[in-house]
Amino acid sequence: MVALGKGLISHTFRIRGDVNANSPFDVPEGSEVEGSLEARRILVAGFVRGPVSARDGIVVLSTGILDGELKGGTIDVQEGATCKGACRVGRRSVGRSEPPPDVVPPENQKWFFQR
Amino acid sequence: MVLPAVSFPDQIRRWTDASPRPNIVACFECGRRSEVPEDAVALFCPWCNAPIEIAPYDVAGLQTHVIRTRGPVIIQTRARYDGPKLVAGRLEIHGVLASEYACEDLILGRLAKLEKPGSQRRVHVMPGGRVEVEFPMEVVEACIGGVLEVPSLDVMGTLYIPRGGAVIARHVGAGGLVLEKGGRLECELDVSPRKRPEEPRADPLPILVVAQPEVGESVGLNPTNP
Repeated sequence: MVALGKGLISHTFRIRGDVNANSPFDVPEGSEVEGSLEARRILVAGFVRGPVSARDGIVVLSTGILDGELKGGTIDVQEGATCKGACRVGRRSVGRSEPPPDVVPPENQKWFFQR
Repeated sequence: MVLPAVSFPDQIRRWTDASPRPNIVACFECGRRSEVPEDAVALFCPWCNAPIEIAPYDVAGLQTHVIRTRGPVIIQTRARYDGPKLVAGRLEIHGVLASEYACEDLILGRLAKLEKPGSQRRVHVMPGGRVEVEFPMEVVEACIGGVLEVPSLDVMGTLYIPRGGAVIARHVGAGGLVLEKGGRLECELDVSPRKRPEEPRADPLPILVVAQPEVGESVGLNPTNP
């Protein structure tokens, strides 16, 4: 398990294991991650195998290969990239810091079926 | 590493502001493509002389007679087309299309309903719409501003899902994918490099060859018997 704070990795690397980063996380071209990857925002230009979860979004560049389950707020896969796996991207797919506005009713709102 | 810029508003504008009038049309008979003059309402194919209609159609009630045009067709809300295969350039559906179809651009409105499969180059689901399709769709480019429920969606180019859009499918294949914040995608995803078909171009016009008499040959006389 690799836990990262606010630091950024900018070198080419090879990680076998789970990554949990409380910051944006980049996988540069030539780098590999085999294991689950969780970060605020993930940019993939290398190779990732395993479930990927990013609260803010996932970007896969044309050189990127991603093989695993995807969860995120947004996703951008450029043409030329490879991305395979189950995908649940968008609303309610990832835990948010604030709940969506349509779920929380105003305090003084009375429901139709309320007695 | 620099994040790529996603020109999403430009993409949406390209879809919504596209002129319904086609610039290049294919002949219904020989399939060759030719350019449309600016003020033409119909034209003849330069190769086979078959007529090519580019007039617009507006379906407001129940219509069963054939529509075969390269121009735009709009099926209004509460209208229904139940005729032979519908052929159109740009097909905008707000009502029910109960027949097979073939078009370049398919635009699905809020209450659109497709009852039979067809072929299209691009598909656009308008914001606020919810379209359930019971057959798989294959397109070159897709922009899903509403909700599209489909068994499988295969996009040769890029699939765009803006804010408020959603694709719910068992399988989605695409050459590229852009999902804006507020969009939703639930599927088994397969994004891989694909060969995107080229944009249609007009075929070169036929050159009329007129036989010229040879030098010394007199027209109308038999050369073997002067």
